[in-house]
Amino acid sequence: MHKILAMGAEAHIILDKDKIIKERIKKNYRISNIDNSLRKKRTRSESKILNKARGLVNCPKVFKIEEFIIEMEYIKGPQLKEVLDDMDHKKRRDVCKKLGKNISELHKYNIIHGDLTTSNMIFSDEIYFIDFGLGFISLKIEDKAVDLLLLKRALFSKHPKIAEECFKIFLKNYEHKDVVERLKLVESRGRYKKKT
Amino acid sequence: MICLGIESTAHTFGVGIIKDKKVLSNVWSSYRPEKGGIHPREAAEHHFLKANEVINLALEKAGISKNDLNLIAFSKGPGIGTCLRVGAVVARILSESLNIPIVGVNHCVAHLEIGKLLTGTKDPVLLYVSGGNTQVIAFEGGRYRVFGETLDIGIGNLLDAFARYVGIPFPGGPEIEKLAKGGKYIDLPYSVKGMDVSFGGLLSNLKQKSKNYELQDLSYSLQETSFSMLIEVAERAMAHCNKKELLLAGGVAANKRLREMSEIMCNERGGKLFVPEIQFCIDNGAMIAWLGILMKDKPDAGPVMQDWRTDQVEVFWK
Repeated sequence: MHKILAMGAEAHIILDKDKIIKERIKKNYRISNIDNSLRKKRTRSESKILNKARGLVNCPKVFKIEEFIIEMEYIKGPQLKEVLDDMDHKKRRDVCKKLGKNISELHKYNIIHGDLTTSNMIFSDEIYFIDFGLGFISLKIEDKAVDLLLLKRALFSKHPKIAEECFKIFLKNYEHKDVVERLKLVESRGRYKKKT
Repeated sequence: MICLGIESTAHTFGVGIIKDKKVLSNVWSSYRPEKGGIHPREAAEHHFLKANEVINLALEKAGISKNDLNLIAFSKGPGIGTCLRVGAVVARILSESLNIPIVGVNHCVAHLEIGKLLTGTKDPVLLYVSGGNTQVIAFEGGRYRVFGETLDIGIGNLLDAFARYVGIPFPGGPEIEKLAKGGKYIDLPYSVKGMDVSFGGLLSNLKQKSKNYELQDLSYSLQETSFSMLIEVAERAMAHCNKKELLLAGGVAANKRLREMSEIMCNERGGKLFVPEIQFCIDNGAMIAWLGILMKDKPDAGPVMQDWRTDQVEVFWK
């Protein structure tokens, strides 16, 4: 039984019995030179990073990889973006705490997710991280700080009412203080930042 | 309700007049530096010298007199301080002398609202691509929010800085677009981080390569790489926010290749592209006048805000 679960920005997610087939689709707006190499690179790197992250946080298991396709474990549950706003207070605290600890762990092993939005987290009792397509390995504090910036922006843009509280709890549980320091610097380099 | 809007965030001093929902006139004068980028003092000087002339031209084209005006709007930010202050002062003089209310509006939000008025898009993701600004904006939770933006320089800035480096005068975009036709692809750094982009590395790489490669090929590859990055983040924002409409604004929206790529992306995901006429994509007074009309119930001038963020604006008119 095949069922299209999602047509994401860059991939089709197809449910085939109990596994997910993620196929990076051709983008005709990009010339094929750019498109092919991006899709290949991201497919390869995603499967590699998923394998590496699996021992550290909850994320799907990779079964098989082809040029533009990854077959992986199906994680059942809503995206975090669908449930975060309506959760009761205690549960949300818990989620943000876990986010802090989990992303700490990824960064400890130099795994940068690259797209930390609440679309890319599945909530089913535990938090599962999905879509490591923009992920990469880096020792740089800068890269980790940008990872946090993406999460911060994702929270403030998609969940404006609870973002401040969520991010605060997140930071409390995120252990790399040098990265948090760098985050301030990265933010100050951008345009039109809030004066705090 | 007739509103006169003054735009002066950067190199353009623009004046637009809108009656209810109709643009009566939209005129401007742009400061062109002899060499290098915008010089803040010189740009402000240009605006001061041209203000009267541009305002009179706008009134003449609209076929009205000053006394027909009911409201003055000006861009309060974000932008270059010296330039913003000229617009703010001119607007205050008009408002005081005509004894009509004045309202300061946000430049980025104005781009979005004029796009909605003129193209009919209802709830778009805005890809705002100008010299200084590169942002992906959409309405969420009662405000316009920035979902993605450049982590360093704007797309127009990238084009201009590269152009300047290889000896093409400001603005570099149109010339690069011409040169790009018939160019061949050279591998350049592609830097997308979630819904953000970064152009700094691309610019240094282009500078390094400029000695060893044909300008045509560099221009082509520059456009293909940077525009692909922009369309990718715009598409990601559309998927993330479940929105079907894409609106372009900013001077770089004049680029035909960028429009073509936007169109293909929208078609492939069952969405729709909206692009206002180019005079309403670039910095213009009409968009300021229109946002002024939308905000007429809460007129507020206040000091200019150089780094006024899009999501700080309370959207009470929707």
